[in-house]
Amino acid sequence: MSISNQNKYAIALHTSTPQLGIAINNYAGDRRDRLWDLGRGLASELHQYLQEIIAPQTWQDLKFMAVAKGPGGFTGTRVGVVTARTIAQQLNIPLFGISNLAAVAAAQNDGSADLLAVEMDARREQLFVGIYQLDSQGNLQTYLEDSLMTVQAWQDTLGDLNSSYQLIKAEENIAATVTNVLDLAHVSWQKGTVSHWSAVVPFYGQHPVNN
Amino acid sequence: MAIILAIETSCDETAVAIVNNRQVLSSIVSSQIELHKTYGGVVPELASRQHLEIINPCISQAMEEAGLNWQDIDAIAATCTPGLVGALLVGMAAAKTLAMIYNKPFLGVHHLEGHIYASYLAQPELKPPFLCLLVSGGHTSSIYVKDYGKYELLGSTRDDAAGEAFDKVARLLNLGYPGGPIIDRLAQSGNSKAFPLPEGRISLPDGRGYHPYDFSFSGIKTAVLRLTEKLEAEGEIPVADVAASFQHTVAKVLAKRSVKCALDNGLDTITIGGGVAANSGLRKYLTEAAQKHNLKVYFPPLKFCTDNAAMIACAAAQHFNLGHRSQLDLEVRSRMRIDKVLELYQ
Repeated sequence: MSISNQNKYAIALHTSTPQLGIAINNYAGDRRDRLWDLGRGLASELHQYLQEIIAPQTWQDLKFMAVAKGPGGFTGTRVGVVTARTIAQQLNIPLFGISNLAAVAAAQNDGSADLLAVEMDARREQLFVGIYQLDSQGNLQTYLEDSLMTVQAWQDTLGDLNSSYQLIKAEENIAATVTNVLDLAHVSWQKGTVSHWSAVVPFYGQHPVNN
Repeated sequence: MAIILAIETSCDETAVAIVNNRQVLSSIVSSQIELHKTYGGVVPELASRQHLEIINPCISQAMEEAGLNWQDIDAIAATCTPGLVGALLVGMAAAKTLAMIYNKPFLGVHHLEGHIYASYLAQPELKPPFLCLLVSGGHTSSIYVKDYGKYELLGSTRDDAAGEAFDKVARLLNLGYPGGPIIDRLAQSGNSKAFPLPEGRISLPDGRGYHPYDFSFSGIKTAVLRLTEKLEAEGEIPVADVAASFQHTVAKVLAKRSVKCALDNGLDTITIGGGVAANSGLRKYLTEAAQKHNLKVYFPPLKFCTDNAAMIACAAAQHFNLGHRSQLDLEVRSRMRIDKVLELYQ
């Protein structure tokens, strides 16, 4: 199925926490975003909220899609990613998988430092971490890829940085960064970045058996 | 007439199929056996991750092989229970998304009902009532199929599923995973009467004897463990004889109790579902036992015995034709009784 050029909306999903975040934007003044506290019901209720928020647009009005790919809850993130992959596959539109840490960095950047160092609790005295910086156009670039580290290794990493950094703790309710997920995807889309749905998978950060 | 696209991801097979009532138009199954082999069994989180990566290519392939476009599809279905929750969620999310985008009716399907419908795929003229023996790595149940969507569970395992027992015994004998096909192969050259093993009977309360149809396979597994420890202490384990004795005992008890169950309930037909239906011992004993009592036995082809989406689509087609529809917010459930399937529909 091909999408014609007049279709002009983009949509983003954030399903990595018990809170569902959906944002839709045509980047021409029409935007809306919503958060729902769904707890364990997120997986079952996601589609009815998608149907609700897409109206009055239709699925055929989408030109690209974005999804928060983690780190975060495995199951919730997976439900969002498989939904996004299926939408993108069937509508034949680009899908951008955006790091949850990058979205938090974009949301909380206060402009005070060269680098944005984001950490998220991964339990067992480990952290999901990522470091970002802004380029000359003000766009977020990856300085250190998202990874899983011990608290000590993270402190050592931060200690070795030669630039100033803003330390950002990603809290539990990060679904509100769904608008940043969409905006980061929009930047990539504007640059003409090719992002096929098949390349978008959750970022788990760890193997379930071979830790 | 109903053309249904169905998705099955309840365990370690990623499957998508399209059927027209009881006629299979395409059936794609991507097995994860190699992925889980290293761990000696299914790792749920790994299964979910693999489903996510494979499900979308399977959807495309199923559509391509059926030679259909989306306007031809009447409804979308997915297995919603029982199974691994994380794995079920992947298939359900994909199926709901397809139903949402293409504005199609959606139906959740009970996995065990799917196995029952595998018999309809193989024997389109089959009609209820009959007895279905479901034997797989996750289930061992004797189900009275009273009518379409109407079931009564007459017997089930109290502990391990039959296929699970095969896997565990194979692990005891260092044979690899999955255990069923390996034990079956070894059993061909072994002496099935070399080692008597317990059949696993379930006592009824107050000394009222034994449950006539229920199964227990944990006792036989423990007996094989003790046997192998004893044989090992004495020297070499005669693996083929142990495999043959184990298979003989399990197959015989499945056959015996199924035939009794059918006869006691006035049923003249037994159908088999689940991966253990491929076992040569079960086929032999059940066919022989049924013939003695003039019972008909249907073993579907192996491709429909193991987990597949064609059986799910076939069950969904029947429900669709009966006017049943599921809500798009239908939840997945790790367990659900087979006699409650109609709760999945409006």
